[in-house]
Amino acid sequence: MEQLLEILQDIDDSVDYETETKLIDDHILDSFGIITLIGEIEETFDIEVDAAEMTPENFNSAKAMWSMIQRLQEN
Amino acid sequence: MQQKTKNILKIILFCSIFLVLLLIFSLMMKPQKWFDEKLIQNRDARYVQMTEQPENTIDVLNIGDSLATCTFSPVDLWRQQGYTGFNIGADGLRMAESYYYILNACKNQKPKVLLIESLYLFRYSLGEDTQMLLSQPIYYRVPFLKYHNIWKALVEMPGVMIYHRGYTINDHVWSYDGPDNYLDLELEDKSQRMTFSWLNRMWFNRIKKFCDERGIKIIVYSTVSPINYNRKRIEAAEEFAREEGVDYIDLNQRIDEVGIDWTRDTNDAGDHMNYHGCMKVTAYLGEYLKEHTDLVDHRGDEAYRDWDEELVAFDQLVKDMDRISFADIYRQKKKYMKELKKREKESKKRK
Amino acid sequence: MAIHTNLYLLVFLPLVMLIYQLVPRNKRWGVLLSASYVLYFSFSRFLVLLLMATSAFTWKIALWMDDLGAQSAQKQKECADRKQKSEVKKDFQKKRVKVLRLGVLVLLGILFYVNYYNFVAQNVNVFLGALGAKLPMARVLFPMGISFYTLEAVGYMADVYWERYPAEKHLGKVALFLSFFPQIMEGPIARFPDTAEALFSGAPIQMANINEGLLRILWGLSKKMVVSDRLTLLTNLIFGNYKNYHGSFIIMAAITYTIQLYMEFSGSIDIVIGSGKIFGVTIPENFNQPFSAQSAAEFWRRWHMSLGNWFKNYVFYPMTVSPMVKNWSKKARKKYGKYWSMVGTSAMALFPVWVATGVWHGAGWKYLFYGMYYFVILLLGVALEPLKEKRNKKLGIDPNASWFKTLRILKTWVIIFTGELFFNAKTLTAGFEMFFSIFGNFHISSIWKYWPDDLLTTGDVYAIVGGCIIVWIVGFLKEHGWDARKKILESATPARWSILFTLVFALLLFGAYGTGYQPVDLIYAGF
Repeated sequence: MEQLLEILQDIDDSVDYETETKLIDDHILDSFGIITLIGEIEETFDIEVDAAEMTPENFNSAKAMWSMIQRLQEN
Repeated sequence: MQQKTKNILKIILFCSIFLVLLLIFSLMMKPQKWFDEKLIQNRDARYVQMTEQPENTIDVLNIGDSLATCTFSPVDLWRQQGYTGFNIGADGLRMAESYYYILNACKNQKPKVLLIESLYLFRYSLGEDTQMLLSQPIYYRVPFLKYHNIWKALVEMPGVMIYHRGYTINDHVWSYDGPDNYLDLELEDKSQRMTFSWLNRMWFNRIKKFCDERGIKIIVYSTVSPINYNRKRIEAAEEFAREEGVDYIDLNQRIDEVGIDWTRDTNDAGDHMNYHGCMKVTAYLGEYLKEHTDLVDHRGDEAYRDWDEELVAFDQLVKDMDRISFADIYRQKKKYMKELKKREKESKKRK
Repeated sequence: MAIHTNLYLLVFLPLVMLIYQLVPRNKRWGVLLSASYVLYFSFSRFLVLLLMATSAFTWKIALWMDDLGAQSAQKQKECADRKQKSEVKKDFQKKRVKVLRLGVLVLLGILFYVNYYNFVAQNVNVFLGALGAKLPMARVLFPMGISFYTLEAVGYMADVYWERYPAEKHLGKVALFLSFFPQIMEGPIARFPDTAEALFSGAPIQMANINEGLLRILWGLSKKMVVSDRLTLLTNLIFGNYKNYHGSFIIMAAITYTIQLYMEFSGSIDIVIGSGKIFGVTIPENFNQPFSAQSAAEFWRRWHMSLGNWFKNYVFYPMTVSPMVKNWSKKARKKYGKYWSMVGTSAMALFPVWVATGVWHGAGWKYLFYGMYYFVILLLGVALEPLKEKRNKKLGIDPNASWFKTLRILKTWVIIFTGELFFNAKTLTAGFEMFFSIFGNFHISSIWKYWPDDLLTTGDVYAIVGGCIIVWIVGFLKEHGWDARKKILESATPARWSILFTLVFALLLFGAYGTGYQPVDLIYAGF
């Protein structure tokens, strides 16, 4: 989780990721942010994010992202 | 249950208030009382001016689209035969609309003849015509909707179109240089129809019924227009008139009798007549009316003096046309309107 | 019978409401579906059969994929070890991909055929002409709304493929989702969970929903009839005879076309959403004050949102995470660093999105250009981001200062107007000629000298300007958290009714309608 927050801070440091739950819905994280984000988390956590995972629910909050990462690591 | 009744009552109340308001606004919507007649322009112009004619003075109505209004000059008919006519058509007129135009015209008048230019009988578009089934009766009965554009007159300067019993003078010349035997050719515009839709027939029957009840004679005619007529179409119109039991004349087969000069008489290369062509067609129609109807010559009748006055103004405008061409009138309308006003004042002074 | 006509608003809609309410709840979806097909028939005649076939096909493909998924799960259970399991899974996944491909290819194939066949044939013939060969032109009938329902169907199939939700078993529900009558002409492009449940549930019509729906319809109709329909004449005149007009008129036409398009498109979407609301269906929004966007990217998040979202979900994201793009970006990171890898990845993901967005609007080089125009601008936006930050720091600009925001909004306007100029030009060549005439032949005074006042009189100009100001104020207030529509609906009955009556009569008075006035067709219904 620490690592994930670091990655997010790197993309945009003006957001409080611990509490924000509408990162996608409110366009806080834009499409280009997502591109960077996915590159980073795939490398850091050694996972493959595929098209099926690309839903707002998976990216709306740091918590949701973290649970997605854990799920993908298990597989 | 109670909530449901309450809701239904609410809807009924809402609709009633709406209707009452619409009725009040409609009663208030009397353009001719609010404004100078000249302020009412475009499509409403002839409609309003028609209702303003002195009671029971108009004998001949001429209806149709722009081909009809550019081809018939009531003031010239007066000059030649002493019959009183009025153009009640409009650009791109539709059958549904025309039925209510005729109804409107007959509110204060007892015309004896209705001239119908045949081109608009062919005009048809299912979508719009279906819409009109609904909208036209509403517009006719609800002046608020019919005249809703009238507010524009408040912010705009007086219009430039000067109507003479529904005719506007246009002296622009663009000669027709196509073949003389245009009747034997195909129409260039393939989108034009050769038949009559059942909706148009339905409206025509309503018009006919209305006229029969009032003893109005219907004469369908096809005016001179190489762009819009060929033999196929004229035969269709003739057939239509025969089926409906009304008179029909085609002027395209009588070019020499009418005396059309192709270099001078058309406004847009054989589509519409200009004033020169209009005079000739009007004269021909006048002779036809003289022969085939029992219209009365009102010239010299004290009750019709306004027609003589109009004739003078009309001729003055025709003279001005030599100075200010049709195209210029749009650009110089401010100047020209001033001039007209000045002249009006002067003529009043003289009286 | 388009949705802005009196036939729809005064006859069709009330009739459907009445029948809907009288029919037992479990059959109401049938009323909506029949109404949809009747409306569709009124535009496209027997092409309604194509719509029905498309619905059945979409329904079947989704079920097929679900079925394969179920089989896969069953087989996996029977497997002993992990390796075997993943093998089975892979096997079935391959089959599911094939089914998805079949579905997408068939639907896009039809869309391609009706939209682009003649265009492609024409351009191919230019080359074949030299060889003396020729592709025949096809007389293609255009099925209304095909661009919209095809995207909905493809989205649905893709979502089922990704197991975002299960395939719908009831054919009627899928058919109704694809053909719901307000949406069929101009969208918005919905996703299955957005509307399907509400459409199918047959919930009774609520008074509150009627209020909300009618207010929305009235608002949309006003935008279209007071502003947009008036501007149509002017823009058509200038775009149609652009060679006769000075650059100042071209600029004006680009602006008026943009306003016209916005008022008309967002207005008819208001009618769509309002109509849906009456039946208790919340159709997704399509516009969100697009002219307060501070960048081209933001503009596309506020303008035709449902299209943008569709491309984001079904083209952009899948591209971003596709193995090809990922591999490239991994390599690029090592070789060129973070920045260039990010720019390159964006380019690769954005390119197909904007080719598709352009081409989706129709056949013609100008639409392709329109897509590429935004591709370049958006990519530049990404690439220049670090530079802009540096500049702001150096010059001490606060990016949140209101003057800076205003400047950005104005810059975005220029981008939008230019884009729409090419979008509405007759051809791409005409677009360029118009664009360059702005620089070569500009006389501001020619506007009042040559104003076509037989088309747009002083009164019309007042109505247009007044309408724009009101729409702007309402949008501005909404942008700052004060939703006028909500406030009206929340107010007490007498106040609400007075506002409603004022709106209705203002519309009846200032709307451009009536005898001799031709109702203007919906622009986006042509796409």
